[in-house]
Amino acid sequence: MYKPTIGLEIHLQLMTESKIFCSCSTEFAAKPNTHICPVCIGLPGALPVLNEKVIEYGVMLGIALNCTINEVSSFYRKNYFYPDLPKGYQITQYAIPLAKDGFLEIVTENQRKMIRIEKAHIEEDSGKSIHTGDITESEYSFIDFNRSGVPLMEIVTYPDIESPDEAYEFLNLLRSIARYLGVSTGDMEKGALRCDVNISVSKDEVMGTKVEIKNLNSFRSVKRALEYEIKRQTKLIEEGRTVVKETRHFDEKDGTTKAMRTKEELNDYRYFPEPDLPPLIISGDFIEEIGQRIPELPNQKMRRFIEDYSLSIDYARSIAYVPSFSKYFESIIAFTGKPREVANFIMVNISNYLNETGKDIEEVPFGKEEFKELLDLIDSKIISLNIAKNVLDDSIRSGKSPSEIVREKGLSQVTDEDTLRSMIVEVLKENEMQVRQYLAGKTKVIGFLVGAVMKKSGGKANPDLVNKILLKELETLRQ
Amino acid sequence: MSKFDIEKVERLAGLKLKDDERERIKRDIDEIINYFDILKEVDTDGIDPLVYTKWTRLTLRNDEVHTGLTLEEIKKNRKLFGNNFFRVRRIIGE
Ligand SMILES: [Zn+2]
Repeated sequence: MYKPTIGLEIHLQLMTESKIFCSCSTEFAAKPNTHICPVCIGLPGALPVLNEKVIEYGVMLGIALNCTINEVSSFYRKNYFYPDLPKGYQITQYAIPLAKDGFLEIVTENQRKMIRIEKAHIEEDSGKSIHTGDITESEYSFIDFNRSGVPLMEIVTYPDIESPDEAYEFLNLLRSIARYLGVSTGDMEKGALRCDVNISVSKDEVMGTKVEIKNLNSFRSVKRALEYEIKRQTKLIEEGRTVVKETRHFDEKDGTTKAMRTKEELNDYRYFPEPDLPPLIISGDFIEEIGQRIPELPNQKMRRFIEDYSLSIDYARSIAYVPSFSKYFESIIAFTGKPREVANFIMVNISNYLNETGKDIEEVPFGKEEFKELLDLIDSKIISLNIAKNVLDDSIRSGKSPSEIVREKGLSQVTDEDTLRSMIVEVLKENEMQVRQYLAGKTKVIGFLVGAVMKKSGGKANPDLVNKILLKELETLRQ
Repeated sequence: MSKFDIEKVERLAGLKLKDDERERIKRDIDEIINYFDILKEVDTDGIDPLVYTKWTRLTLRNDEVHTGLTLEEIKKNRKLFGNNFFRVRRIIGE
């Protein structure tokens, strides 16, 4: 069995209004080159001035990732030539990052696992180059510098990840944490989260050759690329061939990875300290103050939902990881109790409604009062759980209250024993074979008969009562 | 024997040198490297590297947006600009 060893390198955009070293806007999808200035297009003599919000967000994220914050860190120039890098170097952190030695604990298939974080540092993004037409058609490439100087936090994990699922979950948790902190949207489609992976496979303790994969545009792509790469590398080794240390590109269309043309030697970035920026000094008080502003994080919330409310891992995660979902959920159960029932309604009925309408959960016209009403109707046995789901669906869409719907549609449960008994007698007549089977000792058919009664009642019969009366009626047939 | 690869330095610096230039620059860089060899003789054990010669405090700015360059200003200084894009010689490959 070949074991994969995976490390992630994630770039998160810190959601400031202005860029990291100048006052240009970070607005997404603005007209090209409308948010640029001498600093972010590298005109001679322009000097970088650090955005204080970047430090605040960086420290906050660092603490949430259980990192040690370096009270003194420094900026470096990473040198390379590419037209979308106007200065010929990227200002980043190198020798001493803002944050180091952290970890996140992830949960996959009931297993808890610690993924260590090597470092997290702040840096500037580059511009964007666009190549249109084929080489023969166009002699130009086009550059948009709007992204040049957008603040990023680069997070590097140790190679502690051992499956595509773990990689997926790590990203999922990281993005959720960034959203709770309000430091990043983590939207991959908007370039607010990018992820490169390193992967090797090995049969024994000896590490295999590391391959880097780029161009991963969604969490699903990360998972697919890793799955493909594990197969590819395993096959190479089994055939006695060698895995080449290289950078590969994930092809979204066919789900494969392809070697990129790179000159390894060119990866000599000649880092040196940025002379235009003195060291970044952060006081212990500041770190303390930021630490106190960190809210309950999604993994803690998830654990609380599982331990205190007995939610399933899946439901607990789905609710806890989305700030708006957990806010909705918690505001309702604070009023109604019954977290399991409420979680169920949210994950099934309300989720369906959101998918259908494209709305956000804040817009759902079904609040704590309505939930209370619905749960009371179930409690007082006026409607069954199944009917309640229909009532909820109807109520969100029509705006009518649950009781109104029950009244108008006559959905109250049939609890009148005589009515139920006559339905049961009919069902028994219609299903003589099952009755004989039951009397012959095959008691499992009782489920079928209860189902038939429920169906006859249009789902309105009280199931407990049906069961009770049905058993009694069957016993009378025995004599 | 040179202590470095002049062709690599050319590639990294994005330069194409003429033969006579290459010889001259090679000599200069060799001299610089040799000077560092002299510096290396100093015992620096237990001494932290000095990165900044003066510890001025980092100036910070508030996260506020100000307007930068207008398209007119850009066009005035850049001929290869059109449809809101800077044009550069086509980039081939990665
Ligand atoms: Zn700018």
